[in-house]
Amino acid sequence: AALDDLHAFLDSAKSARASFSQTVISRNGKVTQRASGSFSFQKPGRFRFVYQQPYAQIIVGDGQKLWTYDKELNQVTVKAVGKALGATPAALLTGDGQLERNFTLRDGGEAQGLAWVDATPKQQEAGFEKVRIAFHGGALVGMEVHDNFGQTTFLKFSSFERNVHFDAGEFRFTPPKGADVVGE
Amino acid sequence: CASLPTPAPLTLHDSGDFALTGRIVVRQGGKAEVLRISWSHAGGEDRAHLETALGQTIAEIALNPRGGTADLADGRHIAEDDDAELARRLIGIPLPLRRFADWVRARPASREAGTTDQPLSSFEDSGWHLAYQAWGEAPGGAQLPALIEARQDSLSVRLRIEKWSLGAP
Repeated sequence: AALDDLHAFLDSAKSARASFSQTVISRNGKVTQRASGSFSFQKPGRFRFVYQQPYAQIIVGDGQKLWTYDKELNQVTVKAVGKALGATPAALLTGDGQLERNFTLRDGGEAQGLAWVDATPKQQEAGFEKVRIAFHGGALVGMEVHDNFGQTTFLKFSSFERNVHFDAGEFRFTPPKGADVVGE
Repeated sequence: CASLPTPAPLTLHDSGDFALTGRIVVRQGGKAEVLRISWSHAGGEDRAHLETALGQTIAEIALNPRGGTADLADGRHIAEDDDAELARRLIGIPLPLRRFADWVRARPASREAGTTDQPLSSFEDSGWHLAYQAWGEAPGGAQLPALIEARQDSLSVRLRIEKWSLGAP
């Protein structure tokens, strides 16, 4: 079932690219944010999240450092990726074999015609309660991130391509001229 | 999307209640985070919600004239009578959080009552330098700040306001 789909996906997808739509629903059921963009990843541990709507923001994990760039705030932040990636939702996709070290994985059954895996972070202070990963016919179609305040982020993936060849620049980030860079 | 500073007078609801959503750069020591923020000001009380780009709540903050509290994602609950002390414990910067509701509407504390509501591009307030770098049109035609920087020596907090809603939530 879904757990087999997850392991098959992790074993087969050395890299991938997809578009995503993101909807955040607060604990009182109100949609507080809608965003969309694209993401790509390459094992081990490299990824790029690009928010295109409603604002421009880029998050790049280059294997050593985690970069974020917010265009309107002209702000670049950078931190060591080490523990930063460990138990984050991004790690679930790009996790290089440490998934079981950072998450407890359980079969989440079938719902809405999808097969679900429940991933609960083993670290207490991971900052979120659990992630649910959805498969449809073995393909990764979405994720739900449940935080510790009853808020849920729904990510829907589309035009998913596995094992894409990326050029070296895809997972590198160079701060634009004039941007304020803060961090290690 | 945000226009250059325009001197149109502010037309705010007299109730002074409002809510805003946007992004804020929060710095702590050598580190900085860009977080999503929603802030509501109603009946003299403020509520703030900070979350990551992916939507995970980092902190929920409540402020009232007697003090403030913060509930954090790692389960901690912080309570302080002094708002700047609460901010220092939260983000390492002693921001006068109770001044935030006026800062986001470009209203300095030292404003003598009765002067026209001319928007200011910058002013000093509670030891901080406020700069209004972009304005946008809020519902009802009010020109309200869209990009604000609060600076004190090497400390700086920048706020990009995406959406305003005026009046009681």
